[in-house]
This record gives sequence, C-alpha cells and structure tokens, in this order.
Amino acid sequence: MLRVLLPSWRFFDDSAGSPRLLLRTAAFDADFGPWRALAFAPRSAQGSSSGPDTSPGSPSARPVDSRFARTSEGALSRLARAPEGALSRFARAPEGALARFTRAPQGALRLLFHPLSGLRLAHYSLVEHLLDELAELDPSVAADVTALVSYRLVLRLVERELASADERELASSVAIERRLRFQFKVTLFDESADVAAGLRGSLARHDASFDGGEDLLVSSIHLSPTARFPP
Amino acid sequence: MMLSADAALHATACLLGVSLVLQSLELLSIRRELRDDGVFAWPVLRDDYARAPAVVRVLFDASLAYRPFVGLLLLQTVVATALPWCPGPWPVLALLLTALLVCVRFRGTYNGGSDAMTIVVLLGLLIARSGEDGTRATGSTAARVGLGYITAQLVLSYVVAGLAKLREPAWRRGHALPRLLSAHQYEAPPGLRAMARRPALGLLASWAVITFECAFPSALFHGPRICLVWLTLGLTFHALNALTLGLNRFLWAWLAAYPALLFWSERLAGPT
Repeated sequence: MLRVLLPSWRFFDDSAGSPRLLLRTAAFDADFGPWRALAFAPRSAQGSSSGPDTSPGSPSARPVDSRFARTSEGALSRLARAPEGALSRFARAPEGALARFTRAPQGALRLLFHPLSGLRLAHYSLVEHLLDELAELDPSVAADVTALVSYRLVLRLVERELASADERELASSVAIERRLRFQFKVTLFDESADVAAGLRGSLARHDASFDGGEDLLVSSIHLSPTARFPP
Repeated sequence: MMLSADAALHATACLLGVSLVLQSLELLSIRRELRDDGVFAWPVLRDDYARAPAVVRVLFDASLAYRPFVGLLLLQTVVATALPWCPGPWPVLALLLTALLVCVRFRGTYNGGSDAMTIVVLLGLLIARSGEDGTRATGSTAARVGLGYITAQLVLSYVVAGLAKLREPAWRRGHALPRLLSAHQYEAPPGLRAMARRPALGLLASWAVITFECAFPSALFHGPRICLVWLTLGLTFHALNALTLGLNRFLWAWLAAYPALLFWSERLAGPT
C-alpha cells in the first residue's frame, strides 16, 4: 500500500534482464519436454467459456481456511457470500458485450480501452512479486516456498495456461494425456547484451532455445489440474 | 485569461472520472480472472492478511471476494461517471476508498504507476473539495493546496523517472529502450522494435525520453504557453506509450493531473 501512497516514480530504470516464466510438461511416466515460454497474453479472457478444473482434489480448488470461515460469520460475511439479484446475476453471467472488447483493440481504440494489456502487465507483476518474496526469505530458515501467496498465484497462472493449451489441443484432436505433470521456472535473461550486439530481443527468443538464462526459481513438479490418467 | 481554480478542478474531475470509468470497465471485462477459479482468486489472496486483525479480514472478505468486488467496480463506475457533477468531498472519498481496495485486491497495484497517479489525483481533489462550503472551491486555500499537491507529484513523476534513467548506463548508451520495446510483457509492433534496435535511433530516442523527463519542471515556471507545449509533448509521450507498450491506463491517469499543472504554471510564471 505504501507503494501507492508514496510512489517512487521510477519507471523502466532497471538495467537487469527481465524474468520470464517457462513451463515444461511430461506424460505420466515419460521425461519432461523442453522448456517453453509462457505467454502472458491471457487466452481464456478472450471469451473462452472454460477455465481450470475446480473439482475437489484439483490444486485450484483449495478449500477456504476454516479458521477464516469461522471468524467471518456475521452481517458482513453474509454480504460477502453474494447477494442474489441483479449484481449476482451480472457476476455469474458469462462475459458478454464487455468481453468482445477484451480482444485486442486496434488503432486509436487502444488509447481508450485495452484490458488485455493491463492484464498482461498484472500477470507479469505476479512473477516479479514472487521474486521479491523469494528475495525477502531468510536463507537461514527453511521455508515452504509453495506456501507463498505469490507462488500459488503464479501456479494458477501456469495451470490456466495448461488448461487453455488443452482446449486448443482438444480442438485439434491431439491427445491431452501428454501433460500429466508440469513444472515451471523463472529465468532471468540479460537481453541488453543481445540488443547491444544487434541480436534478437527477448520476444524473438519465444520460439528459440531458452538455454543461457539464469534460473531464479525452479518449481517442484505439479500435477496438471486437467490431467487425464491413462486407463 | 487565467485558468480559475474552479475550472481546473472541474477539468480534473472530468478527466479523473473518465480515467476511473475506463479502469473499472477494463477490470469488469476481465472479471473471470478474479473469480475463485481465476488467477487472482480471493481465497488465495486473502492469505496475505492471515495475521491481520479479524475485523480487517472480515471487511476485506466483504468487499474483495469475487461478487462484492464486482459490485465495488460497478459502484466505482457510477460514482466516477457522476464525479464532475457531484460537488463536495464525499464522492471523491468514496472513489479513493474503492481505488485503494482495488490496490489491496492486487497486492499493491494493478498496473503500477497508473494506480499511484490515480490515488495522487484523488487525494489532491479530496483536499481541494474539503474546503468547499457546499458551493464552490474557487480561490480557496484548500483548492490551491490540492492542485499544488497534484502538480508537485506530477512534476516529480517525470523528474524522478528521468533522473533514474540518467543514472543507468544502459539508458545513456541507448541500449535500454530497444530492450524495453523487445520485452515480452509489452506488445510493441515488430517494425518499431526493429527500428529502435538501430544504434543511432535507439540512442536518439533514449536521450529524447531522458531530456523530456528531466526538463519537465520547465513546464511550471515559464507561463501557460510554454506549459501547454510541455503538456502537448507529455500527451504525445503517453499516447505513444499506450500505442506501443499498451500503457493506456497511464495516459488517462497522467492526463487527469494536467489541469493542476496548467493552473500553477500561470501563477508561478515570472513577470513577462
């Protein structure tokens, strides 16, 4: 909150490379495939109707802390449980007219309304927050990184990417059983050397090898929320 | 003709209203990301406040869980739309509260500096309107202080950003801007990225940005005409940022602070 009330006003002054979120997947008993960059462009916000699996047991369907549930009983809690009515219907409704605008606008409209751009930056901030929280951890104390809020948020981002990738592959009749397990990592690429040498920038790396960066975090292995076990 | 405090505050309220309406509509349009099965799920985010007093947790649950938060954004849209025509501090206070809650929902800010500038303009407008006695704030000390606060933060925003870049060798050598345009989190057009990678152009553009930001205080001390030139440059700068980097929220947040600068530039200019 202090960052908002006492802004630093320092923009784009960081000369270090930019962190990238990379993802790799593996079938149940196979080796992991190559790392690939996770694009921050949120495909599921573009009118897709399905999201990550929230069935019990899914990593996304984490139950609410019962201690919170007890303390939040009362008038305000009832408010939080969502009033039935026009607002509730709006909140439940699939994105309609507004969703059409979430597709990347063209030309001058981008000056006015460009929700996907803001969302992409917010997703990128999740990775930056994760790195900040990791930097603040006391190295002398063993900490469960997976319990960090920022880790769990980045995990959700990765799961959402996997879910939308599954949708794409289902549409192209490619079996989705390949992605039973996944792992992500945050890697720092120093693109300044590339730029100085007139080489390709980070965007060009998207389809290229991701060797050479500095790994800042390699996650544990997670089970895909949309995993289908072989029969 | 001098820009009165009343006119400056009204222009600020109009531009701030537009900015907040756009911000709310953008968040409403991506609201599936805020659901309990979305990326920004409140059941996860609320753990940030696990050690907060119970009353704070209950208040946050009541306002930041998915459905109440959608209601909060709708409320912000309505109040922001009415802001220019609703005098007094209460609409501003309500918007300040909703803007701060949005920041809490996103663990600090949703889009960095644009949220910070929105809060700055809201605070300035709140100070200015707190001096109203049910009518208008024209010429009141509160109006001048409020507009002065916005002006000071606006000038600081450019100067601090410029000086920070000036300290960085990558910016001075012209390497930082091409790298920024190539960064994956932005969506600069490929042609522009290729153009900026030409060393001479990269160097020229980098120094143009540094010079513009560091010299921005000139807007304040050389009268309204010079100020208007700087504001036009600033508008162009932010419009280019919006088109090339997708920073449209910054354009409207900074634009809302411009009337305050124009107001003070007329008063701080030396004798002509």
